[in-house]
Amino acid sequence: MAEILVRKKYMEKVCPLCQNVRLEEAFPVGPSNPSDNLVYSSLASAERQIRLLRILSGSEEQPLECVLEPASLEECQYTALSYCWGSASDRKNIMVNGQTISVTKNLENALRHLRKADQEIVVWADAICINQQDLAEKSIQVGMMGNIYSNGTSLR
Amino acid sequence: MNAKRSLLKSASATEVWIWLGEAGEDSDAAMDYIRNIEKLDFEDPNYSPPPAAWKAINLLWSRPWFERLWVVQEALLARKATFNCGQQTVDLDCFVMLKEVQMKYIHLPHPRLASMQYPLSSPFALALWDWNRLKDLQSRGGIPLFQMITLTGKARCFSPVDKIYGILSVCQEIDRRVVKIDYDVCIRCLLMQLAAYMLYRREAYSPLFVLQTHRTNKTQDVPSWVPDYTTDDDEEHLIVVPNVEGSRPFNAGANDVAWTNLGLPSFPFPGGDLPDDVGELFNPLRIQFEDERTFETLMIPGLVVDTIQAVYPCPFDPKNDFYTGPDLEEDQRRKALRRTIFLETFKKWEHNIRCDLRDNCNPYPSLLGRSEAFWRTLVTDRELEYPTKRPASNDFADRFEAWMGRSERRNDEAYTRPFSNAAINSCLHRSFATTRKGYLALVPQSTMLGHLVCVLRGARVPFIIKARDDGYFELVGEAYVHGIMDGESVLCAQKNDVKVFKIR
Repeated sequence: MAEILVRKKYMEKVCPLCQNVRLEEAFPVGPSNPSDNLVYSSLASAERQIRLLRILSGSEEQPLECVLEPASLEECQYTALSYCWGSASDRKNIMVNGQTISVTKNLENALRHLRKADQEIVVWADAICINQQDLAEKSIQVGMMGNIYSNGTSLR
Repeated sequence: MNAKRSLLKSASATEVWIWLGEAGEDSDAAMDYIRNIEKLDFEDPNYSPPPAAWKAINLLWSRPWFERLWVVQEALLARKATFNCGQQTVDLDCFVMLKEVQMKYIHLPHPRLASMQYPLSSPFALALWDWNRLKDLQSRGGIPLFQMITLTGKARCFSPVDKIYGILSVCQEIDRRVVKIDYDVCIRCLLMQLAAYMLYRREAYSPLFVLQTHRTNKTQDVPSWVPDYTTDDDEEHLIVVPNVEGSRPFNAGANDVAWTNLGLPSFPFPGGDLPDDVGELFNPLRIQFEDERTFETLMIPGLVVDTIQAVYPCPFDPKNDFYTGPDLEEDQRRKALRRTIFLETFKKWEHNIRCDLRDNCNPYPSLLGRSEAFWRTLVTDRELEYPTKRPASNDFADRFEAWMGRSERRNDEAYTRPFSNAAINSCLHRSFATTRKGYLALVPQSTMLGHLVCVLRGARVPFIIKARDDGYFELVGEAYVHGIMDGESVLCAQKNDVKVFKIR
């Protein structure tokens, strides 16, 4: 029950243009207390930073373990994922930076398919690589998508 | 480390990795078939596409990825993309080719090709169909925002603002400069900013086209002149007539000279003479708002031409009565039924005109002119075949009569079909209306008795507008009004007919 409450969290937002207040559904990914959050550190927008997800090698049965870390967009190599989020209630846990986070089943599925037994894979996946709760960051990162998707390379 | 990096770069195979989901519903067969599509010769009389593979393709196509909004820009931005389903990988290029093949043969239903008659219509498929042109536009500075909005009209996304933010990356640089991505801004403000921007700059060919779009089923609480781009746009809009030889585009708003004769200042916007690419030119129509900070009330000069006297709704609800399933026989059955329903309705409308309008209340040349006005109104005076031509050719008169059962070829369905298809296409989302002066019109479904038929400066088509008690106006939507589509009402107006509509 407590978990459901956390997932259905709403954020209060004020529109800077009309000053109207609205409630929007939040996407809780990491722990709600920011000081405990090892998943997201802030990004340097001036240096056009993004976050990349390293999927650690592993065999099929093993749980997914990943490292999320900042990288400069101009100098990095990754595969950009295009997937649909799927149902928000159908979720799975994965390990990121040693913490458990919850992602949609479809994304977990995709990451599992990409994982290799013997080498790491570096990917960019919007739901994880953008801190969905940080609207200022999201506004900047969504604006960088043109570069993010045209830069992607493969590790196959 | 550096050596490893450069090695990886040269070995790069995939840049954007599209995930359709786990294998299932025979997806392996579908992916295999698509991978080899280039090697197949559909013209070969001995080749019959395997029904199982095409059925599997249809199922693959109905996976949720194809419905999503973000994926359109993700795939368009990729230098190279692959589709992945289960263990199968197929290049995006093969999907482009598949759509090409399917579109080529779906209109030639040959028994040999019967197994491939699936519509394969998803929001993403619309982009695939036009892929090379879109990629080309994008590489030359971006796809016009309005085209992207139209293209992704049916695509889904979680948050309504993403309907705009999720396509901006493939648009033009100026679009991104004006429509800034800011998730703090509410959807209402975003839609209003966007509509104002379009009126200011986009659609040089017809800035007021913005007012023609998304007439009904708004879900956001926006002023009536602001299109709600967060809802599906199923409606066929009127401005589909290209300015090509042998065709005359709608031009209800006439030209600059006509308006300056009515006492308005000359605008740099000269009707259809402005080039498509206006560069940095802003507001060629000198669009004004009552309050420039809120964009709440649009102010625009125009004329009241007439008042709606009677409205007859379309008998068909496209939302409920359309069949989109894969059963071709069912599809044919529904289409035949639709034809019958419309035929009965058109007979009724024809009868209604005679009851509503006295013989002398007729802006058309004689009663014969009124009959012609009727069939031309039903097809918005254009043919459906691409490229669309206006006016519709004179032989439509007899095709119409034949369909109504009043001419020799009444049982010749191939003969009447060009007319019936065009008429059904025009009337599906509209009501038929008559005006006090006796004009015949196709109007938005929300049109009511007493609404005004207006022509706004700079518009290609007339608009139905509702006068409120407080002096403001509400836009109801675009209309086809036979007899004023070439600027006639502007050319014969008087100076004191001109008024400024405050639309909110």
